[in-house]
Amino acid sequence: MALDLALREPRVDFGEVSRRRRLALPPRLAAVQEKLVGYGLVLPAAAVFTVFFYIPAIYLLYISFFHWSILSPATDFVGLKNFHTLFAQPLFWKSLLNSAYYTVVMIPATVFLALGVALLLREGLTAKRGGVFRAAVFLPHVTPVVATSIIWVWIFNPHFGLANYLLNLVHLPALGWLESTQWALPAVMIDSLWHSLGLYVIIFLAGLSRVPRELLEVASLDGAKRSRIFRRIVWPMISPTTFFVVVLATINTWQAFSQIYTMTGGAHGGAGGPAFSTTTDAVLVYQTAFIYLHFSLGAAMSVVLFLIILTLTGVQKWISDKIVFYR
Amino acid sequence: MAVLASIRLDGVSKSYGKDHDRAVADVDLSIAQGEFVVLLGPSGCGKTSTLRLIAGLEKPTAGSISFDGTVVNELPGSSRGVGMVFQNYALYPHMTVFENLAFGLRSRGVGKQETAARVAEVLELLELSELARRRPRELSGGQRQRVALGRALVGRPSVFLMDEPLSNLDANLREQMRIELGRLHGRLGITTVYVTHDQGEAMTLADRVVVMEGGRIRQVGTPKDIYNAPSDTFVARFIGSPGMNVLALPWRRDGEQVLCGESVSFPAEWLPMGGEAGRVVLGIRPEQLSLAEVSGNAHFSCRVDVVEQLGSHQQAHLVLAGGQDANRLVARLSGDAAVSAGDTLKLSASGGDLRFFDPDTGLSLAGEMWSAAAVPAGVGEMERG
Repeated sequence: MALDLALREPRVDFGEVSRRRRLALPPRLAAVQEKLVGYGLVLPAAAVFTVFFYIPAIYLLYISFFHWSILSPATDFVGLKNFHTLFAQPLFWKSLLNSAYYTVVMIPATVFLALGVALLLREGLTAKRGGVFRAAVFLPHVTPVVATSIIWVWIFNPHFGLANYLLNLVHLPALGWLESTQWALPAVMIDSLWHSLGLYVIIFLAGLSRVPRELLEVASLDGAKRSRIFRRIVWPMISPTTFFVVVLATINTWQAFSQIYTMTGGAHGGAGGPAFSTTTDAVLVYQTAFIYLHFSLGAAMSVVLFLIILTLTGVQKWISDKIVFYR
Repeated sequence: MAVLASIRLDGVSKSYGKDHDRAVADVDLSIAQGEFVVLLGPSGCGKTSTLRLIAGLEKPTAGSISFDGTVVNELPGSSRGVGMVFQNYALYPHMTVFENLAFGLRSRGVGKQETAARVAEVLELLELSELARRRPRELSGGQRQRVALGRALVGRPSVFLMDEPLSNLDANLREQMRIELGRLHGRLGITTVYVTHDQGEAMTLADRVVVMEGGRIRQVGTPKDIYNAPSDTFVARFIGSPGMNVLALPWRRDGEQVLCGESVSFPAEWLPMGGEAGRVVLGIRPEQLSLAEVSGNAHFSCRVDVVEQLGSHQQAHLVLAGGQDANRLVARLSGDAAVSAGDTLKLSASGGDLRFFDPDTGLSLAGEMWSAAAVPAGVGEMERG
């Protein structure tokens, strides 16, 4: 009897842990269950993204190789003809040039202004008042671009606008602003900068808050001046943030549309003027597709725009791997 | 080698904001050239704030700080000739070990060749030469600590400030680094102010220990003085592991003896106050309680609550006999003493070991007989290893 008992499976109760273990699924099924839960959680977001982003993007690529109009679905395969037509248009190259000009000015301006404001907010303000100023700086970003752009149209009015009034105050000649081929795009840039600055300031503030205070204290005890501390300690330490801002700003500037549309008379069908001086790639895509109803050509332009942004981001990533310091 | 500085704090206070209590309150302290002073106390006692005031990272709200007799209140830290080691090392993560050390010299305009020579010298001193090209993340905790030390040393400071520099290291490494720090100070002799909450570090490293609490200095003295003659009950309890037993008891004269309730008695001549009865606070270190009954000693009747066997010795947690004396105390007894929970013990202590404190203020009522001279020799040395 005793031997029989000894040979039986020991009935050990290890308490709650043991009970849980007995109830748990076999490892394989548990892994499947875990995966299903994961997919289930991702599914709603993935569905929205697929319907409103991936499918249109793939369809856009598809119609860029077809002759497509809003009345007849894409049936005539034309190969690269849309792209050939596109590259043969001087306006397309002009729009690319405008976009490049817009980006080349906007990126450094965004980075240095946003970083400067972030540093001022961080250094000069107490936590209590800092909150008010942070909100004030961020506020333009949460107001609709169209609404703020209308205000900027008034500011840049060459006859009674605030901009020329201020120039007049400092004895500078009045400018044509949105009516001038030379100053229209800079005027749009000022609006864009003002509107987007708050977002980048907040991002830089987050980056700056990650620089340990002790590092700045050690550097000051080491006898480093403020400018040297910034150049040698703060700037390298926030390089991942700067890289993020550069990538985000590059994408946003290449895609800039609403402010140009509103400020350059889009409501009257004349966006991108005067004399195409503010016709960026995104504006030309809109006009080609939705004003002149050349959807295939518009799609081809979008593909080119996508490839440009992809290439720029790739180049930025390649550069960042060499100069950005990740802790 | 840099010129060593003496430091003097006169009535130094520091408040952060109008409504806040003073983090440092009326601190008076003199530190001699080449001295190793440890600021010791629990978290929030004001020791780090005091160090930051000396470093010039904070400005005092009141009082003055002098280096070699010159008031430096308005002088930035970089002009005070201090080298500082932070608790979390504060190494520049994007720079190599060499660059970390060279940064300060380059900031001060030291030439390339001299910078390279001085960095190499310090790297060699700290046995870091082979790690010169590594970045902090590629180093172990102990190596990072040494780089932080090196960075503070390379500027040839006249004062060396350390803010809990060993607290991020594991126990073994901490002990090793503690020995290295002691050796380094012995070799370089730089005036050092060292902040810690670890009394082991304080006792082993310091020439003098400054015990702080609530922003104020409670006692300044050699480790031996602090250990043997605490100025008040806070210091008595804080120093030592476990700290001094502090017992608040009623007393009355009974002939040649003083009886404290039913459980404690000692010769009346030890009492540092007059009268026939009253209240007193007694202090006795756990290792100074003995199982041997010696006539003419103080006696403590106790019940054993818990016994912790620690190999070389055992720690008995005791409750004073008699319902009214709910005071608890700890005794460090020899490892082979036959003691178990529930036993009743009669422990004794000699007059030189007993401390008296004012029951109202908690301040020491030290008389001649328990001055440092009467303290058993060797305690401090033993602790300092």
